[in-house]
Amino acid sequence: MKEKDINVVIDNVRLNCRAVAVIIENDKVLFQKRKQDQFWALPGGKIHVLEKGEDTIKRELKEELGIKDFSIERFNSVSEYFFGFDTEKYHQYIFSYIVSVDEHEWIFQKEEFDGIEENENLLYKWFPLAELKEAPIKPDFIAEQIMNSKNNNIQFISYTEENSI
Amino acid sequence: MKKSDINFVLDNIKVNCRAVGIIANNDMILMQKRQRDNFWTLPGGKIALLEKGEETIQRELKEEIGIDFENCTMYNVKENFFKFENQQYHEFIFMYLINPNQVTGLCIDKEFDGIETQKKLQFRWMTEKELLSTEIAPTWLKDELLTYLNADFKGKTKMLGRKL
Repeated sequence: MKEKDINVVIDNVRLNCRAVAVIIENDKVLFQKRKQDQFWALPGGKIHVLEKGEDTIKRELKEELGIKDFSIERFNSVSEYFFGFDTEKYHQYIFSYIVSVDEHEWIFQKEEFDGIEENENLLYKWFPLAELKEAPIKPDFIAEQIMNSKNNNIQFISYTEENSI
Repeated sequence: MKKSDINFVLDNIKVNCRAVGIIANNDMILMQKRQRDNFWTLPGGKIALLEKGEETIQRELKEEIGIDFENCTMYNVKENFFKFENQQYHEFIFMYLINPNQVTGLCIDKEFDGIETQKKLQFRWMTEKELLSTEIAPTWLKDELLTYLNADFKGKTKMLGRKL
């Protein structure tokens, strides 16, 4: 429900909190985007008020991909991310989690596919780890963060995008 | 000009984002307490819009205990759900490590008052033993601090400071 999203405007700045999943299989990472967007992002969504980030992940993966057999391996990173989009200034926190999905789930069948929520307009694509740096993905620090996730340490990033002034 | 703090109500729940700092010296951690509260906690404050957590900590600690330092490293982040005075809260707490050797103006008296007299803040360097027997909030913080004191961190160094 959109009303419960932690997504508010205070003092002309949009504050939101997102939880995203890092799903890596066969050296490829799953990304999503709305049909009209230029850039891809990790699957997930806005955290609801009183919801734990892990539960956001579980809810979003069920809603958008209909998958049931997956587990959240560990908390991977938190990023404070300042950027501009559509004439708005954003102050965003992204909590990422390593998620392993059972190999029998349908999402591994194709390189690109649609999400299940008809009205959401979501596309999914597997990007090879080796090609992440050049891939049209956002935020800019995500490629490096995913590569570093194999170190099993919690990562903390503070990133301000150039155009956010 | 500092923008407003991240502190708002959504669906009757108070949501806020807080940055707190762990300053450890000689196996003691600096803790703070508001006069009206019966619990101790880590120093820090609410993060403002467009402010980095590191900047929040620098600003808050400068205001409250007069210290300066160049940078600090993030240690952990916690989702903190709790009820206080009949109000439900959803908090994100960003915990930072501050190296006392890189701080100027740090008071090493066992107990001292905050600079902002109207805020009525008390500060105390607490040993592991004191932390164990003191009322600490949030509920998980005590374990977190005891784990930190007992771990082999490179950041745990002897401190130089000033005496009042």
